[in-house]
Amino acid sequence: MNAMNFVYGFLVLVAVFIFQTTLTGINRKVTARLQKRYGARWYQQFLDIFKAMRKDSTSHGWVFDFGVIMALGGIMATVIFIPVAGFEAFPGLDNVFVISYLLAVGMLGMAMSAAGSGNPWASIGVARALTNMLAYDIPLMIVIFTMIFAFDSASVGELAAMQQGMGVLGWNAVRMPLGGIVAVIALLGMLGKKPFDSFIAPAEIASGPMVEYGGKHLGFMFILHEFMTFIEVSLILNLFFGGGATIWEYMLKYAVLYTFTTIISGVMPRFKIDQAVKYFYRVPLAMAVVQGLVVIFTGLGVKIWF
Amino acid sequence: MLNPVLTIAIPLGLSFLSVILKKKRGWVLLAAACANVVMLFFLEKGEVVIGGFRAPFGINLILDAYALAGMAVAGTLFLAAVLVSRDKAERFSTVLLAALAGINGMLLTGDLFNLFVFMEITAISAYLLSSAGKKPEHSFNYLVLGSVGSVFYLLGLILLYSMTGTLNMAEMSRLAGSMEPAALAVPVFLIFTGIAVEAKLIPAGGWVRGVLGNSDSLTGALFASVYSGAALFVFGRIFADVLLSEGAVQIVLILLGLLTFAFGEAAAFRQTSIRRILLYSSIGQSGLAAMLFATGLIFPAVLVIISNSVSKFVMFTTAGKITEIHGTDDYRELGGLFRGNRLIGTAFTISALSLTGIPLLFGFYAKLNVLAAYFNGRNYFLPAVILILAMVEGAYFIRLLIRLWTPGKEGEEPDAGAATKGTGLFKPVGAAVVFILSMAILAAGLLPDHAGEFISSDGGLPGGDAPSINLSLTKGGQ
Amino acid sequence: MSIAVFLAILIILAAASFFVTAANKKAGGFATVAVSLFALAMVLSMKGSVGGEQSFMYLGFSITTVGWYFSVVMLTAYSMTSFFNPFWMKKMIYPAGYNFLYLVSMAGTIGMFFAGDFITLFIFWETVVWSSAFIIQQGKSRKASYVYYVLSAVGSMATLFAIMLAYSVSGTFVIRDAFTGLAGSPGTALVVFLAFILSGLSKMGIFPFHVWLPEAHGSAPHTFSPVLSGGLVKMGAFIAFLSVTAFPAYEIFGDMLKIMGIPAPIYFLMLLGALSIIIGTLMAIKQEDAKRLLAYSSVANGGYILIGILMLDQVGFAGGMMHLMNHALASAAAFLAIAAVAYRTGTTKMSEMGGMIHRMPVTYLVYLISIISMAGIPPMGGFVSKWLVFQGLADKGLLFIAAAAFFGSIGSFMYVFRPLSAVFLGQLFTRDKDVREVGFFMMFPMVVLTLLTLAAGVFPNIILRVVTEIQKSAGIEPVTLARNTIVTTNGFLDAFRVFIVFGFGFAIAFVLFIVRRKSRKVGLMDTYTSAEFIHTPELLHYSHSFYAPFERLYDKAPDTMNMYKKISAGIAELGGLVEAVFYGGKPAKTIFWIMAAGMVFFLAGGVFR
Repeated sequence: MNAMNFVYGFLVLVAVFIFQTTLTGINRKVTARLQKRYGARWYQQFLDIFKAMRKDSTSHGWVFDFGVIMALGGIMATVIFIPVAGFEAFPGLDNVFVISYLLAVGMLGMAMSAAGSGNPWASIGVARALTNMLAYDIPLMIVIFTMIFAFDSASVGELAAMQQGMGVLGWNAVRMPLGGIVAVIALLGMLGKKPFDSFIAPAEIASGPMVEYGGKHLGFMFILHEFMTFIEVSLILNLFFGGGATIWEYMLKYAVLYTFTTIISGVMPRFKIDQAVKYFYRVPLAMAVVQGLVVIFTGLGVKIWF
Repeated sequence: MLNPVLTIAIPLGLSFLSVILKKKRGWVLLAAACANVVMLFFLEKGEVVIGGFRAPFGINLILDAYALAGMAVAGTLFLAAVLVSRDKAERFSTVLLAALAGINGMLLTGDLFNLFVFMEITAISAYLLSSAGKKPEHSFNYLVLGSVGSVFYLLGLILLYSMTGTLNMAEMSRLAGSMEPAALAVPVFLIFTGIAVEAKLIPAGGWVRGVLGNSDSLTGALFASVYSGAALFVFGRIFADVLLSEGAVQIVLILLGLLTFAFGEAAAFRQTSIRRILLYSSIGQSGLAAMLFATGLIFPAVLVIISNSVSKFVMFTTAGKITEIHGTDDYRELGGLFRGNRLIGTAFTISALSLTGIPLLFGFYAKLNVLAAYFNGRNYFLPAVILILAMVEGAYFIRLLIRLWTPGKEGEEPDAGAATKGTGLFKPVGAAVVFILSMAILAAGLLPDHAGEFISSDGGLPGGDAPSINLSLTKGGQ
Repeated sequence: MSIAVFLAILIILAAASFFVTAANKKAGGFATVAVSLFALAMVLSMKGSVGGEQSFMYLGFSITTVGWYFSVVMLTAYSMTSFFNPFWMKKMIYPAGYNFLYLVSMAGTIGMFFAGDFITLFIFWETVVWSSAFIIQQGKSRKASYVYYVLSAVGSMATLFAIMLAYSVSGTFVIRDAFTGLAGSPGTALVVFLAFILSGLSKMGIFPFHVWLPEAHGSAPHTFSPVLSGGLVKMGAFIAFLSVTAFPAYEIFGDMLKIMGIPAPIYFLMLLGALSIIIGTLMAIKQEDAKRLLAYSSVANGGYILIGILMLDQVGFAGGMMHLMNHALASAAAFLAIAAVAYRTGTTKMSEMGGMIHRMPVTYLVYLISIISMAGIPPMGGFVSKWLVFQGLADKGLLFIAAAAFFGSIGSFMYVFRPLSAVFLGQLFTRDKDVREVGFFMMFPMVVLTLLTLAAGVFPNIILRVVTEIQKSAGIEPVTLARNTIVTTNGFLDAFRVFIVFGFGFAIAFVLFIVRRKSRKVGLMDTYTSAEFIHTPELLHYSHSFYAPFERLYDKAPDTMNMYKKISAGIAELGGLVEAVFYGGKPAKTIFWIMAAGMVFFLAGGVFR
């Protein structure tokens, strides 16, 4: 660990921000086209963020500010740990549990700040967000657990590297088809895409965690959202779709996967939060358990593969 | 060295004297009770022949460690009872003195017919005492059942006499050993019933609820500790020493003990009146002791009797006093009672915890011995039952203790203002006696091996039974 | 100083504190602080004498690393909590008794952890049970103490059975010898194993014994709940530890049916641990009282500890052992924080408070850090230990248990956030406008515990080094430790670097925040209300039925307590029957039963001889 690690880390943050924000802008256009609208320009998302950062803001006490900083800090630390096409700013810290729990620091900070605003709607939104998390995370974690057992590694980078070199057939999404489906469904939940977006949906913004934010606080939240999206998509991409051998392959796959979730989201209705829980604990959970048992007891797809 | 016969003769003589000395009878009683305890230290061990004929033809008394243990428990608790309730005891001086003679006789005698006589003396005094509860119905029930028991005992005796031609215990033991076990079933049943009435065993203990449920500080202590302890010692003498049963008959005896134990604990579990909790718990403990005797485990049974008698003495006296002062013994109405009576509360708590087998109290040593004895005999079912019932016992005692210590509504912090008012349950002497007894439980529990040696010391128990466990030999590294 | 002398001194000091309290309540409270700190210092200094055997009368002691480790955990909880005692004395109904029992139970735990034979173990175990039962009743509920005592008794009696059974086979009470003597008879060994561990399960609050935790932790005096949750439940972990190490469970059950390489009886216990995690989590989510909520979280965390210890391997075991320290620190701190709030507001009901952060910021930070640790989020201690447990589970492929562990982990975000949001965040109630932060003396233990939690998360190897010694003494391969790194077969963790990177991210965010224009401070009531006019802060606070949509999904689930109520009612019913049949007060009935008994004797003598 030396100064270069931190410089790389900082560069990763900048690059990820530019890449993901651009992609978000493009995806806004995709959604618009799905809805037969023209849509905003591709750099509109940048404009929104910079505008918010420039505006005056109001604060509801120190925890309202502190939560925002803690959230962005935690999320940015997580981004630094994500291996991108074999590159890691801090090598060896890409343990899947570290990433998924460090992500939680950011979420906790966000929740804390939102609840600290004193607005009950924000608390309700947080309650929904946490419930949603409990719903999607269990099936996903079971599949990831299976993967760790099968490949004897919990390092995201190593798991991604293991899938490369065999083309599509090497991907875990193909080796463990049920697990792959679970992962994509869980990704929709993680990203807050429809049908699992009841906690963050634009139509319900007045009753969500974001209700009290404005100015730089809102700007922080926008940035946070971009980073979080990157972490979540990257996690699924690395674990199930082979990551990328080169940075370009990685970016391409990433864009496809992310746009795919946007398209799905564009044509879906919305679950109420308890419906989402019920759904995840019925179909994806069953699939995850079946996948896990198959892999653990037969080795099919992992130990036995061509 | 004193002749054991004095322990019978002196109380009996003083009993007659107390009729004459109407004014001083309380002092006579106290003197006799004290003398009885003092004499225990100087009694000559061994067999005493009365009337010049050697056994099996004559009448004899046998003072072995077993009899001495019984006499020590009964005598000490008798004295304690007299000390605690002097005023009440005074009215019954004559009766109590006769009872003391009867109890000592019961424990000492080596002759089955003499045993009957002494049991009758004791029983009659007990009927009279039970009438102190001012519920003649219960005394009457007791009288009826007691009489039935006596008749059964006598019938059993006749059968045995016709079969063996002797009434001497040692002789009987020798002859009965060589007899067909099945032939003993009927006499065993008859004699069992006779003793079961006093020992409160199922099926013959029907009188207990009425009498003990309305007992006062004197009668409760006497019935639950002194009489019942003595009756159990007699039970042990007969069924673990004289009439050793085997096969199906033994199983029935064990089962009756077990049922008494289980049913007593279950019944105690649902009570809200302190005296009823205690009386059913006593029934349960009697069942345990009977079960142990029937299995042939004398030393653990003696420990159970001692532990139960002392604990129950403390608790029944306290419960009796509570009823006298507060007019009720429903523990739900007595929240925080011990707040004003902390010394007595501590004594009561120690006694209750000892009964449930909390370590460092005497009851734990008793429980440990019971379990070890059964396990040594490769019996795993009965210890499991005993432990489950100990759990039930712990449950109702802790519920009682919690309520008596802590006032206030459920769901709120304790409220000192809601505590049952009133201090000074006992007069100083009574309080001292009760407290000393509870401290004895603690002391004997802290030094269990010494207590065990003391109980089984010189002379040994029938069958050479000794402590089934020696804690000093179990320490780490050895 | 020998253990016996040490314990004797503690008991004498406990008695002394009784009389000091009787003279002056507050002084008595400070006496408990002094005595428990003294005990902690003594035990810490005993690290060097590990390996010694001592005996005193019929008590046998053996100083082991594991006993030392557990004692340190326990005494940390006791000594830190004792700082609260002086301030709560006036609320106690028996302050002298409380202080006395507080120290006696503390001495009991030490005696139990250093016990060399089972009789000593049992004696001290029961001492702790009754002394703590009499403390609990001084809290809000008498029923709690009853439930606690009875469920403890279930465990104690089973353990006593196991001890005596082992004794009857192997002829000794010495902890290791008594169990190794069972190797020849697997049937007996199975009974001993299951009966022995029962007291551990009931103490740890493993399903189906978990019902006492919410009752006892929730209603005990506020100064005792931290000890209960942070300390006493760990006694169960000690029993579990003995069950798999002193009792060589994996060897004795080596020939039995194995599930994923785990012998069936152990796997079954792990499943119970997994069930506890799920039930503890689900129940914690729906509690309305902060202390009950934390109590259920102890149930869930007990599950992790049990699973970890039962794995008895290189990684998972280390996780379980470390987690008990981390949970003790975090849970004690969280309970203390709630106690501090209750000290100022007089309530622990979450819907009766709000916005305490604006009045008690330090308490808030203490609570925040302890829940971060409890939920297993870096950079706190709880993360490292849960990480180890997960790694161990993944290594063995224990899918269902891992699923429960994940559920408990994510679910814990939900329940730990609830008091955070309802008590500390949100609207400040009018009633609490003038509440002050607690004084230095109460703040001190909370801050110490918080710093320890943080230290455990950043430098986990300090604790794990002790754990490796325990692993060596238990005869298993110790977890591999490099300088700051924990290495497992599935990857490694450098907690210190994770912490540094987290700090790096935080620093960037902080800089970004302060370079932007300063924001305008507005009041808590100055929020978006859909154009309604609301002037009562209490109405603008979301705290009741926080996760209502989720709770609805399982509100009809059966309650384990009902099972116990049914058993209890069954015993009472039997008792009623017995009373009516045998003790009805009608001599004729009795005589009927005597005759019936006579028939049985006849049959026994005649027919079935």
